[in-house]
Amino acid sequence: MNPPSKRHRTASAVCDPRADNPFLVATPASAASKNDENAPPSASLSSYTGAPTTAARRPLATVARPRAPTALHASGYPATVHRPSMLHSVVAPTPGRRDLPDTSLLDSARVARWLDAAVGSPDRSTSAHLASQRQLTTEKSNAERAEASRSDSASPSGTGAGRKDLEALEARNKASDLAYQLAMQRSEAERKLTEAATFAQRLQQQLKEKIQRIEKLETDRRYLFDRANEADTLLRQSKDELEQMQAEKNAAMLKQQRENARISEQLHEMQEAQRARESGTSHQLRMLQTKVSGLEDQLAASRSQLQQQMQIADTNKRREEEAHEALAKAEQALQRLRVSGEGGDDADVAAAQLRNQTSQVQALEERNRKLTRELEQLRVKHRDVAVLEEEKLRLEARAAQVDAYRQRCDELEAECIMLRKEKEEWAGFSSTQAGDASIDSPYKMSAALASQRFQLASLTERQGALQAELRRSETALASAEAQVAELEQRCRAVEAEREQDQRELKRYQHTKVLAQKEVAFLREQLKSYDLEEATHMAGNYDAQKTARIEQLEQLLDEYKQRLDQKASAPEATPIKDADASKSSSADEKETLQAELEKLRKENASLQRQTESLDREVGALEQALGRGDYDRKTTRVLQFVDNPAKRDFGIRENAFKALKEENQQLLNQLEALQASGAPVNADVMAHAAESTATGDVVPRQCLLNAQQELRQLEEQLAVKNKRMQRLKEVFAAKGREFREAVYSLLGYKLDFLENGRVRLTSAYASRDDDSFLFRSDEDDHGTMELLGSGNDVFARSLAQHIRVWVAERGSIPAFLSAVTLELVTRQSGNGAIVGMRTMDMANDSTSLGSF
Amino acid sequence: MATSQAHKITLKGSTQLVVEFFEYSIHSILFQRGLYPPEDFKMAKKYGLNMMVSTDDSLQTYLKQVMSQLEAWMMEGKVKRLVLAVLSKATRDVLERWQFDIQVLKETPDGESRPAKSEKEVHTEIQAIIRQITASVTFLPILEEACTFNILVYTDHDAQVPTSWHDADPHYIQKNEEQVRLRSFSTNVHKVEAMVAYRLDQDI
Repeated sequence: MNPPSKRHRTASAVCDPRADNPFLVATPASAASKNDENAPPSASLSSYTGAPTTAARRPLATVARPRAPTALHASGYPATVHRPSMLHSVVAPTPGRRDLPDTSLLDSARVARWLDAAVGSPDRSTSAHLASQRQLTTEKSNAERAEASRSDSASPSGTGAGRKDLEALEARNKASDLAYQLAMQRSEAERKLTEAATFAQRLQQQLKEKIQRIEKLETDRRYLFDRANEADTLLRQSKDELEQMQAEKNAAMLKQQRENARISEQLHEMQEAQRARESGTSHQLRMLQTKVSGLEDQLAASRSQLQQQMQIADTNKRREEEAHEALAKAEQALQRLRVSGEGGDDADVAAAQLRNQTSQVQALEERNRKLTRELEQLRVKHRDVAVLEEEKLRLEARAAQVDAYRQRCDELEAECIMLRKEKEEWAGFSSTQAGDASIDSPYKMSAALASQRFQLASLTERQGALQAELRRSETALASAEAQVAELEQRCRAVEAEREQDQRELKRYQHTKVLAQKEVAFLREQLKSYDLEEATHMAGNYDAQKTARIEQLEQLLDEYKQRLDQKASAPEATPIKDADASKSSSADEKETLQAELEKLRKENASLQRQTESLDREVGALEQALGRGDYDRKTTRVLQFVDNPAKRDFGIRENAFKALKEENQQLLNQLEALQASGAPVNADVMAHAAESTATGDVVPRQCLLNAQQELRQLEEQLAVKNKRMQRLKEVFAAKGREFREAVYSLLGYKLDFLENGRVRLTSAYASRDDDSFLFRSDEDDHGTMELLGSGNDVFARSLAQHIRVWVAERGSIPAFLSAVTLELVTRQSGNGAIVGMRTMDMANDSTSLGSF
Repeated sequence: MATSQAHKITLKGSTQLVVEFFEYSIHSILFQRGLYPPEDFKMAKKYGLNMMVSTDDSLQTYLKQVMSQLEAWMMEGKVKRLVLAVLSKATRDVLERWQFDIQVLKETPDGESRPAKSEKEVHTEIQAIIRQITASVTFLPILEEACTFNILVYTDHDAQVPTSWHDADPHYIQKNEEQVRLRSFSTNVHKVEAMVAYRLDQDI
């Protein structure tokens, strides 16, 4: 049924096929994936159900195989070619020693079988079956070859004995016949199997149809979406069933596995026993083993496929057991045969047994076929179920989604309702609140709200500002009230002050009247004084007047002060009034202003008075400056012998003397006139002179002349005195000059007669160590050195004289040189003698020569 | 008594100061106005100034007599005024009138004396007056005619007058009088106010 997998198994039993040919594993999968369109769902299904991948792959391969025969061939042949060689290698030594007739006989028989097989096969249309049959035939041939080889190998041992050999040969023939019969049976069984396969194909077609139907159903289901819950329940049930089935399958599998293991063990044991006991039976055993293995394979396949069908598996197992038993019987038969190899009728028994066995195998195979069919159905169903499950899951997810959607829908509906309500509310609100049609949308509403808010903010701001202003104004008001109170107070104070002022004013007016009276009185007094003055210029007038003036001045000062006060007071009050009370004290103000006006007038009049008084004062001061005085209190005194009087006295005396003289002369003239002829004054004077005889001149004339003489003498004395003073001054000056010269230039100057000058140095050792100079003609001052006091001194200075006077012509330089010379000489003597004090004894003589 | 004693002492000192001032100022005026020849004057340091003092004997004797008498009167507080009148020799007209008012400063009504002035302060005040006298040459008319002078003393009526003193004419300036007030000075006892009046010859 499943050649690739079987091949696989057989190959793996002998050696690892993967090592030799990896294509065995890889190819079916690749072929399936390439060619089979149902692969993806099956894959997903297999993955979902958690079935082993190998198990999933095998059914795929079965599906795929008919469509890709070439691939199967390609992969299949090497295995078939290979295996015999391997088998040959195992059995190799025997054919070499085998006799040709045997082999030819065997070969001819085999060919006949081959042909038979070939003739019997035409009904098998498909190449797959052909292939499988071919395989089977090869296997059979192999088995026969093995038997032949065994028989060959057994034959030499039996050659020793004659009869025995013959018997053995007969037995062998019988055995070969039996084998042949077995082979035939088997081929029949195979044929039946192929028939079963065809049947399976038909089933598959039916299955496809069913699938179509299922698809229809699925579409129905899709349409019947509202019945998803039922499907769910169904699915759940089916799932439970599946699980149960799976569990059962697992259990069965485990059992089968165990049993298989046991069987294999038994087989091994049997094989070992066979090998140990008889090498001849080994071939049969091996055949059986392969059969068993094939059965096992079938079982395994069925086991994997027929998981749900536990009972079937049990039955299968039982049958297998039966087959085993049959096998055991066969073995026993074989043994018996072996035993009866010596005996005789064992062969018949064995044949009967074999017949039983074949019948049993046939029954087995049929059942197997049934099982496979069922398995296929179930598999397909399972796949469908998986697909359904998947769909169901999808549907569940969708249902969940739908639920979520529904929930969401509900929520949304609720929200919608809420919103509608809200909207209605808004609409109602807007219609009721706003009233105007302008606000019909929330945007406008919000805009309006925003504008309202803005307005509100501005209004609050304004309100705050207004409040601040209010507060400010309140404070201002409070301060103003306080000010008002203060002002009222002040007003009251001012009023009081004003009253006082008024009183004072009255008083002042009174005093003013008095003062005016006084002024008038004073004026009168002044007038009287003036009169007095006019009447008697001399007397005590001045003192009194000054006193009066002083009094008047004092009065004037007083008035001035008062006026100042008055002027300042009324000025201050009106300002206060204006500040304090505008309402109450208006009348008062008027009265006060009237008073003020009055006072101002008075002030003006007073100022006029003061001006006039000032003028008076000025006049009086002028008078005072002139030297006026109060004759009553003051005397003006002068020293009798004052210069002016003296001067006048002199003049007066001279005047008196002249007057007297004149008088006397007049008298004399009168006397002369009386005595002689009238002559004029000149003549008479001349006559008087000429005739100077003692008493001619009047005495007064003499006195006058004497007076004159005295005056002249006085004058002379004054002149002398002045002269003397001058002399004194000159002498002092001259001395000063000479001293200055002496101390500055170091020479004492003595002015001699004839314009000669003697110079004596201050450092001269002797008094006569002097120079004598003479001035030039016209006394121009250029001096000429005449000589020296003594010759020794002159000679000692000859060089200087020559150098300075003769050559240079400079007297001052000569004198300076001499001075230096003398100074050095003195210092050379060891003691610096100070400048000799000038002898001033003969100053007078020198002055005289000045 | 102590205060009166002190008062007297200050009175004496003050009197001496004032008299000295008069003497020097008279000398100065005589020099400045050319009443005596300049060579008859010698320099003397006084009040921080070079004062010209006449050496004329007769003048000196005269002034000494006047000053001694003045001092006597001042000690009694009888003097009110001292006047130096400049007269024309020819016409006997009064051309200038140097007037010194003397006030005896009475004690203040509350009995306390004023803050005492130091001699130096008084000297500076005197110096200012002397300077004014010197400077008055600039505005006083030139005395073209020969002049002489007389000293008048204004005393109280009850002052004791020796025989050498007679009442005198107040020597008014008769016409075209001009007055210039000069500075004043004061000691603790006396206040002297100076003034010069002169005849302005408008004819010229």
